[in-house]
Amino acid sequence: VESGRPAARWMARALFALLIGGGPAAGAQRTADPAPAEEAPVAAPVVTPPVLLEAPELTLPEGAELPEDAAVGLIVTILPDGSVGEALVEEPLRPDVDALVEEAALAMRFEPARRDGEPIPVRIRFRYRISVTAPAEAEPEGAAEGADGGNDDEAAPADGSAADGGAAEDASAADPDAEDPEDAGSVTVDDLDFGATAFRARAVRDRPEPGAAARITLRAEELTTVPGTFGEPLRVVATLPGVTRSPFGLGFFLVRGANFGNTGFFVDGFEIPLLYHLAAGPAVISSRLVERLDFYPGGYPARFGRFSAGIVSVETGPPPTDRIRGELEIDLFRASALAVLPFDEGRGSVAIALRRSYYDLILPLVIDGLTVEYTDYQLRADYRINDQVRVSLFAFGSDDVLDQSGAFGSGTASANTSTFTNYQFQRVIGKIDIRLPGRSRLSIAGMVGRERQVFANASPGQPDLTFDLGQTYLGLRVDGEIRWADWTRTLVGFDINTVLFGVEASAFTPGGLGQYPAPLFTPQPSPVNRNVVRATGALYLDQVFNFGPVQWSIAGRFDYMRYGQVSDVYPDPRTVLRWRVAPELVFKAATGLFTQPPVAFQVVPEGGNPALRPERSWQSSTGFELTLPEAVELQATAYYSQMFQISRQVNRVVNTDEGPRRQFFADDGEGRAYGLEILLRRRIERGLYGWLSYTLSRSERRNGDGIWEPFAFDQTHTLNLAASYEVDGWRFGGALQLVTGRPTTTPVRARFDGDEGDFNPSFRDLGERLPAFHRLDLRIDRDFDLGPLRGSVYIDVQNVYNAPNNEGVLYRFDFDPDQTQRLPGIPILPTFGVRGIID
Amino acid sequence: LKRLVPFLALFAAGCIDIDLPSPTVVDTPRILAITSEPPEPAPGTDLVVGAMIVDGDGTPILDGRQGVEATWTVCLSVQALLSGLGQALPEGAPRQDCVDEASGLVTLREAEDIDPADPELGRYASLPPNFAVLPGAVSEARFGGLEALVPLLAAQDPAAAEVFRVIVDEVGLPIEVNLEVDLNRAPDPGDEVLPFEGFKRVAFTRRDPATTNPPAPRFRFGGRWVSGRGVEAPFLCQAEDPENGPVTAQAGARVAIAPEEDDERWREEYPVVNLSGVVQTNREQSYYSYFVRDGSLREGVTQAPFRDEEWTVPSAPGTSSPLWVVVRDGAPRGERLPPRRRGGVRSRGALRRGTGAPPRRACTRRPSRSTRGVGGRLSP
Repeated sequence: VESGRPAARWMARALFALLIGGGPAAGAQRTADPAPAEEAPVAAPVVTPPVLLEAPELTLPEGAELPEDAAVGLIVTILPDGSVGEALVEEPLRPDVDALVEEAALAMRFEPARRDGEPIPVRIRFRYRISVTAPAEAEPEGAAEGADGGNDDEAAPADGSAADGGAAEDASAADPDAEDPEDAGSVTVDDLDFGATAFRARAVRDRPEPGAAARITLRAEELTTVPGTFGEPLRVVATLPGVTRSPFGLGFFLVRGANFGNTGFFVDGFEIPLLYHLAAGPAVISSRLVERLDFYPGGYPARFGRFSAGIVSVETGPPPTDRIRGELEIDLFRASALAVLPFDEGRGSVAIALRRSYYDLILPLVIDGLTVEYTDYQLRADYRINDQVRVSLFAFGSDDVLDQSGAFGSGTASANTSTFTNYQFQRVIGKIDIRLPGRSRLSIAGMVGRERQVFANASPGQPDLTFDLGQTYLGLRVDGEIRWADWTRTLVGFDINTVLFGVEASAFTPGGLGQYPAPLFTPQPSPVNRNVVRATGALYLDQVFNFGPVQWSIAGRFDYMRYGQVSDVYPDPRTVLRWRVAPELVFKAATGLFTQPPVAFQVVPEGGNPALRPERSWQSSTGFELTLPEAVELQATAYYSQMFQISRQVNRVVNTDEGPRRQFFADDGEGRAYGLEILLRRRIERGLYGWLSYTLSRSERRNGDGIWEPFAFDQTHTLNLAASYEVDGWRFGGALQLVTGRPTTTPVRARFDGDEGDFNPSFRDLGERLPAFHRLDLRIDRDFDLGPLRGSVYIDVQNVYNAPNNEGVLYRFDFDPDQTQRLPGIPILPTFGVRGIID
Repeated sequence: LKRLVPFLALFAAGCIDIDLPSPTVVDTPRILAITSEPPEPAPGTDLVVGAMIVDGDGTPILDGRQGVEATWTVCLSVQALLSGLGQALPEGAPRQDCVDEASGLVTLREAEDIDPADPELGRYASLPPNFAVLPGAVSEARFGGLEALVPLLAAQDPAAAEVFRVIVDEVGLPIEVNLEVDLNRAPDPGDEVLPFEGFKRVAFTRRDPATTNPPAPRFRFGGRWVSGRGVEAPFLCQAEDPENGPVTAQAGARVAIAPEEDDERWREEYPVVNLSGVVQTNREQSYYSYFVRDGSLREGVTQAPFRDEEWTVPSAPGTSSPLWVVVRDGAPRGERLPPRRRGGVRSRGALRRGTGAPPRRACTRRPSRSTRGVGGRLSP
């Protein structure tokens, strides 16, 4: 947006109005400067007024259009130790902002007032002014990006100082409005009007990301108060457009008609295997450490790769670091704790979080022989070396166990059957962020990780089966941004990812040729001990041009992949065009190639295919984004994805250098998906937020006869409605989901298998589907504040009216189509909990 | 984790109360077992197949009686044989989809189709109902064709041709023998009359000696021994002490059924081609499948070393009720390993209860295959 265009300027200002300079990160820097206090007139020579040292980062709602002189009047009690004992709103602005400002004020730290040198408690009038800095002056580039597509969704302080600090020395851009002599005048012990302090710190907004065809960013309450998610940020993704539901709410994403494994989960730029714990569990990372969640349903930017559908990217960050803080959350199913320890006057912090479920205590009361456990932990250390350099170290891990014992009868032949699944991973990520001159940036990160997946089965009379996969990861990535000029910049980087895959198994390998099936599942155990290395390295380059209202991104990602018998470079060209035809309206179009290597076990010589090529997809999309009044926005995207080299299961004998091998994977599968996504969203404003997302989709695979047939999880219509409203410390929310049933087939013939003693059905696709899925979730939160302890109590109910949804059909042993039973979905599932913060 | 989705679904399914009829309770016309003798015929050897078919009331269904028509067929087309090995039909080989004789479909001969004076097949003229024979001459002719197939396959894929040769010579080429039973009556008034079907794999091989079927079952019912050995009628067991009258059980009681634990001697070894294309020798496992018309069974299927079954007898006294036992050998047996810390063995589960009546003698035998193997590695 050119600064000369009034409409554009209005837009830019509106966008910056979103950025209510919440937490006085930068603002506090200036007010922390003791000079103003020293220069302020002193009513009584023996009394020294308090001086603001630091204040927490504050993020105010996006879309909030505040007047330029927006301020909240407070009466703040400052204790002799410099902490704030009480903060009362005297001059409210509006409820949601008042609450946030009040919370921020409680977390501020002062140099206490003194009488004759001794610290004393004081109560002051404090005008918390929210600075709306003129965008053109404060961040000219950011202003342009806000309208046309900047790469940054965080409005950094005007002075370019670190966005999350609050340290006193960062006072380079003193706000002329920071002091109001009138307000700063009278100082008394009991009633001290401290003055009007403008806070211009980090705030948030969504800006389109160059190179990304579509991105949906969620933050703050949008992540933690959506009903049905049990407060878990990462589950919110399941309600966004482009995502069709997975059976039993397993939490795996079926994005734009692709399979489960085609959507990647990233944390701070590195892949992790799962985002959620098993059994509808929470995310594997504490929501307090999740700074932002970006969901790319397709056409993701070139800095990501190795997935042929979408990306869910989680950026973590330190929790508020103004003081020592502890949090405890307990509900019906789990407990979690978080502790934050700041050091060096807030420049650094250490946070530790731990969560443990106790399903294993509850489930035995209702189900025999089923055990579910999960644990996760996070340890995070952050330090801001100076305004330009920040370092962090993030270690986290997760451990899930599902154990089912007992089986079909109670006799000795089956009672001691046990099936065990364990999934665990650990990651350590170290990162350095460097701000370079001219708003350029450099980020260097390294990762070490370990995963282990164990599946085991023990049944009387047959060998134990174990399937123990271990994977060690090493990763390195360097991401840079060079701003050549206002109209062009380059995003460049590389990432290397190496996986050492080891399998130790006494595995249920497919029966040998000539092997007959047996009446019971008696697999032939084959010992498999094999290590496989999969090395991938990628270089990416994304050149972004801003031609007035048009932003054009041309990107190339070149992935070198080496594993098995494959050693090739796979170029993925991508381009994204965004055209702001009006201040409120953006058209966009994107196309590009995406490549995903096979999972390691598929390339093991024994039972896999070392020559398996990576899966690829060619994704194209077009649509628009429309900004409407009342913080409402509308997005619509039509997409088409052609998938090829899809891995599929076969049973072949092939000739190899090592002699004949049986081969169970081939890379000749083909698929396609197309559809329309609509998102109508109201961002958080005046305590209200919500969205309506609708996805119309069709996903197909070509079968062995060359005929296109619906993908097993194809769901034509997916509608999600989520809304939440906050008033007087209460927050009420609801979420509704309506989804077309997935395809199902009908048994038309069943033959008795004389060897197996069972029936072999033949199914026919008659175009039938399971009944439509529908579910309503409700959530109520109530905040409380008991002095040092504050937090909220909540109740969250999934499937409020206990909808009897079908997840599948069970047939009688002979597949008589007239004798069936539905496989029910998750019934009504309530939980309640309390989250407390002590600081 | 995405690979665990099926397991998670399985867990979910395990948490619901499944209210579908048990496969161990016979209440509709069904095939309960199919036998072949020998289980691994060499090409040129006569193959006799038979089926135990029962009605919903537990009475036997016999071919040719009360309008019942049972038809045995086998598809010996090259196309079908290759597809069983995951191989495409080589160029030059005829496409045969087994819709008729010309395309590879062979109908087995039943007693009524055989002239007693036929010097080759006359001895099969007395085959009981539900039995049929595939003359050795037919299989010999077909397998001669298969050998000619090897060079064709070799031109396409030498490794696959070699595997194919080894399969025929050493492992055995599994061929499905099909049975279609047309009752010529609706199961229930108003229902559509539909035939029901079954099949059994028979491994044709030149390996010598091939494996054999297990003997007819002998088991203890309560305190008495019941056996199918030495009984002329097919699929019938008798009490070994007939002088003590029919085998009975207390109404509502739970009766232990325990097969004779002598299966170690008839469990044989047989070869298969494992994942790496290597011929591997496996040892058979023994399986016991149980069916009742009345009451309920605890397990349904057992395998060594836990062979025992428990039948809950119907509570109504004075009922004569059939019990069927099917003995199979086949897929390998392994050793039971000690429990692990995680995923270890735990003893849980609910006892299923039902009602029943005293048993009538009935059993089946030899519905199985055995193989014996030669080891070695294939040459490409």
